[in-house]
Amino acid sequence: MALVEPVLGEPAAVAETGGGRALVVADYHAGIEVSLRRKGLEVEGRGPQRRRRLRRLVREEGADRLVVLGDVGHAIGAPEGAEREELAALFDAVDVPATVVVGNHDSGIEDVVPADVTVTPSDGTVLGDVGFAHGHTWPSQAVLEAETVCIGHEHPAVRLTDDVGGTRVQRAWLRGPLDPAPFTDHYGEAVDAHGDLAVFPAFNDLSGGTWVNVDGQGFLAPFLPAGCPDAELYLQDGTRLGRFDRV
Amino acid sequence: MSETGGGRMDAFTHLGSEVRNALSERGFTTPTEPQRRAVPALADGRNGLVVAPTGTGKTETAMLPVFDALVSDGGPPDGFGALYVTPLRALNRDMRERLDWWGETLGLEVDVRHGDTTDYQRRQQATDPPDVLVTTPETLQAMLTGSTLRDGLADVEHVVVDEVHELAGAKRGAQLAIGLERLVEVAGRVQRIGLSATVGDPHEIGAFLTGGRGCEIIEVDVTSNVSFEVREPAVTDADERLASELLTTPAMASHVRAIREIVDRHDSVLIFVNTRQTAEALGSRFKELDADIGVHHGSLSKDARIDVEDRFKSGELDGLLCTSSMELGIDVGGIDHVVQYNSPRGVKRLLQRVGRAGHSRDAVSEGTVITGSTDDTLEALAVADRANDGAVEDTQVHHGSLDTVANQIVGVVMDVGETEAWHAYNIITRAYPFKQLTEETFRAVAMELHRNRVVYVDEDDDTISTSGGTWQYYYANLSMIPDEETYEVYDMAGGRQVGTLDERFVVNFAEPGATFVQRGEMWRITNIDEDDQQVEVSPIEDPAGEVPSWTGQEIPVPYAVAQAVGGMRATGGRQLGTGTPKDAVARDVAARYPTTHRTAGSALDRMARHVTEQDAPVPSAERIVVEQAGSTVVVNACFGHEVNETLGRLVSALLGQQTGSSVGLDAGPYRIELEVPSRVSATDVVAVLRDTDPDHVAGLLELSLKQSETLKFTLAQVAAKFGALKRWKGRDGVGLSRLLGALEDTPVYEEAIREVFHTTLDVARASDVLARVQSGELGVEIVGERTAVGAGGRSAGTELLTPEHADASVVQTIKDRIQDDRVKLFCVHCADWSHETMVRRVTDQPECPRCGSTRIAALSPWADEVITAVRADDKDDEQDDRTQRAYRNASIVQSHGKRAVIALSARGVGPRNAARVINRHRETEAEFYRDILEREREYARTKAFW
Repeated sequence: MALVEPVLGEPAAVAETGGGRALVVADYHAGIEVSLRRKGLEVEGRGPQRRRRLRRLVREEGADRLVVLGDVGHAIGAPEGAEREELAALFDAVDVPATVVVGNHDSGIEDVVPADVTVTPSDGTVLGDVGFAHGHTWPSQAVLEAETVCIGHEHPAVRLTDDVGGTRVQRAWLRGPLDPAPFTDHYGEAVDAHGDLAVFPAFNDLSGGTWVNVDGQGFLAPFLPAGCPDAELYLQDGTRLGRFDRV
Repeated sequence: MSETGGGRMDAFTHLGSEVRNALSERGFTTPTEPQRRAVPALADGRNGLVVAPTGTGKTETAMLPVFDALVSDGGPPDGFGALYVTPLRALNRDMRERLDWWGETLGLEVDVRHGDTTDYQRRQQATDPPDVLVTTPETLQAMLTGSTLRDGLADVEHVVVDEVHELAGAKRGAQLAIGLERLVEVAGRVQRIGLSATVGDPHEIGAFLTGGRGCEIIEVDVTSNVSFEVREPAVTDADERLASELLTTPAMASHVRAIREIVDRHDSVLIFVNTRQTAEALGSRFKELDADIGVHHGSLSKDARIDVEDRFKSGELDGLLCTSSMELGIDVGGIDHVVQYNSPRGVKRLLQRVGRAGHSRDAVSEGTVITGSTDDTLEALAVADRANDGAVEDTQVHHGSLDTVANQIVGVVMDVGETEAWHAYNIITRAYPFKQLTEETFRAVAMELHRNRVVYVDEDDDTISTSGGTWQYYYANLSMIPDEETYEVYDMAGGRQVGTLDERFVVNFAEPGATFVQRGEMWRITNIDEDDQQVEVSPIEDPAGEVPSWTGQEIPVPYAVAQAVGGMRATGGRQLGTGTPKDAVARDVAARYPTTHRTAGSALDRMARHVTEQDAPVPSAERIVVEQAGSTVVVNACFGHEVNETLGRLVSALLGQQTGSSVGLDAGPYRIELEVPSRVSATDVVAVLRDTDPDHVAGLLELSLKQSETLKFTLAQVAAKFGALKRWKGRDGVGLSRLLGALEDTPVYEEAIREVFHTTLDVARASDVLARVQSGELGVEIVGERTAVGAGGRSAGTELLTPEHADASVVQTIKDRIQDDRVKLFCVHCADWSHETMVRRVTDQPECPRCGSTRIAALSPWADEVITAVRADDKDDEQDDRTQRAYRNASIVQSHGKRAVIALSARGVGPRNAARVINRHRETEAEFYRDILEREREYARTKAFW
């Protein structure tokens, strides 16, 4: 069993964190409906559904910790209104300790979450042998040197075409060995990035995504794809699609 | 209504002296036929529908009794006495000129109010209402909510709805029907008078007009004084020269020439075309030739439109090229001939268009239909023939549209601020299109509006009232006409605009690389600029062999017309089949239909080749012919657009389910063209027709629509009318797919499905076709090649329909992945040879080059420990185990060759599972790989995800 094992059919994984077992999700985007409304699309808030789903996963997987890989909130800037309420309800509902890695949508998050939620800096944190970061900026060297590095931010998706020409887009996992070269370049000293990288699909199903196998749909993380050039794509149902650049 | 009395003046005696004096002053001594028959009932205050051709004094027929009522009994009221509602703003100018004379003579004030009316005029009208107000349905919507205007509306006693047949079939009309009920709330009983062109079912239109309150129908027959000729011009040498001058095809040049000849022979000719694209294509050619022919269509600016109307009226222009906007009663003076370019597709359109000619009393309206292909000619002949029989199509009243209900709930709330829910429900269900609306559906719609913050629903008090968003919603949605953007098509190479495209097509079909026809030329899209709403294109120099992605929106051909064409094909096919020469058949066609011997002959060319050279069965009203060449399957079926679209979607959905692949669909009136996945054959298509339960068609289609682009676009339009989508522009911000996800299971979604069913499908007839196929009444035959008749269609654009659980693309991806994977082949016989290669390079039966054995194990490139184990002389338990597995591996490869290598290369598939997969003996490669995929998923589920 890998150090980080996806939950079949879900945008979530279980990570062995040295004596602990964490449920890991990325890009929760609480309050996304507020911004959709601002763009003109009236949708009902789906906070309760998201919350129930997350609680169920924590319970079913027997996790003793929740890790959110960034973008737990949605509005850029300090959360307010519906988003603030959804965040409060979320952490109230989850009855295990939580760690939130700060993402690009999470400024001011530390003022909103309860005191017992650990908020880590935006370059990530390490629990046991697993590194956690959001991915919008360079993870710390300590995170990169972990056995498995988990990031979010990309919302990876894959567009598959059949021989008639019809296409379908699905959320996907990206996973492969890290290449230390770009990190060493960035930090100006040797970075022992020897583990695997796992890029998580977004937990929030109203958010868009990067079609990682389509030309011109560039990666968002500054260290991709160079930092993981052999990454392979997996569908949430366990289908291994192969290298992202050949699918 | 029966004829009233004997004397021709009798009708006018029902009017008072003031109006009779005005009639004499105007010089109207003899009533026209509609006036003679309608005035008595209308003067009596009854509701009525006047069905008569344009230019027979219809306006006066309705207005003389109204004027009479206004001037008698103590004069007109303080408020608006009568409303004259017309669907087009362009009508108002002309209508007003005619009504003004009557107003001045009778001392009545007649005024106009629509979108362009100044604020000053609006205030004037509110404080001092005119006696007769000419307005549009949308302006009435705005008027109903103003408190001062409502005072004026309280006095309305007569409403005339012009072109009511146009409105009845549209959501605009459904909205007006409720608008009239809201007017009743203010004004009490109102006399309703409808003016309509020829329709198949006037009683339905009458019910629509009056909300089923009873309606006198006064119908004037138009078929007795129209005459048509259908002609496909022969290409001459001069046309060949003209073609190179105009940079177009000789056929197109011959059409341009033929139309010019007709215009030259007459004084004033209207040239009707079916689409704006055609208007642009033809118009640009006339312009290059400097012909005295102007262009008139809905996209022109108001000034440009009025200018061209005036120039035509004054005789400066001899011809006016126009689209359906000119079918309505815009006055452009006397017209002595009408040209219809391409088949008019329906009887109603032909009658209405040709009816514009020859309006001096008793003159025959003459029209020429210019056609350009076999389908086009046969269809035009079928339409002309049916027109002579008076077989006018029914108008389908747009029943039960939920976005209209949403819109008008807001309207009722705007009228009164707060309303009890049952009261709003009663007002809405008085309108004819909403008689069947259930209280439950009404509530669901109201709650959706509540969720979208458009109104406030108090469920305890059962009231609906305004909320913060009500006002803004209402004024942004006065019209039920969808807001559709137009994209400019810009030729980057030539540095010029070549035309425009509707958003619908840009959203559904356009992507870089897609090709289309505009102005008769073929273009390839290089870029789509969403911000500037511009589609950048480059011309395709040599279009031979290119199939356009789409050609633009066509007017649908009704079932009855397509069946009539099928009947002509049956007759012609029988004659040709029994050895009658083509020339004799053509003579027979020319004798029975309004066309020339030459045109008939040209229209029979394909059928003659089909029958005599290919000896193929002719697709007709009695027979479906399915033909296949490569991945294209064509179902030749004479059922018209809606039925064929329905059957095509059905077949695509079921084939999609069977194969997990998308299917390309291009449905026209006579053919359903399918792009099918490999291994799907004509037989599979026929099996769907033979085996599908006709009762399941609606359900299957609803499922398949969920995935379609058509639904997404309609959903966006409908969502706006529900206030669920407030500022949606193009694809900006919120993608269509996310919209779909967010709105599923709402009344918005239900309405979008309903609208697609109503406007593009015909489930009842399609089910009937299946039943007839299954009973054997309708024959189905398969032909293994493209036929002359089958290949005669024009593409209207292929939509790719993807089934819900489309896994063909996943299976294909897995196949590619495994083929690219590396494998280490190792000979367990000599244990000497091993070789690493890509799976795709492995031969069908791998063989050891050293010892010639075929006992080759297919191992992972990293499985060196297996090789070590096999080679070891003194094996430990683990090595023993590995060796046994390698032997089993090799024996499967020995008996099954490359298939075994492929299976063994899959993830988590060992010798035992590989044997299982292979022993299923799947027929197709896709099924084999699907089994492998299933094994890999099982491994992910039970062992390790990655």
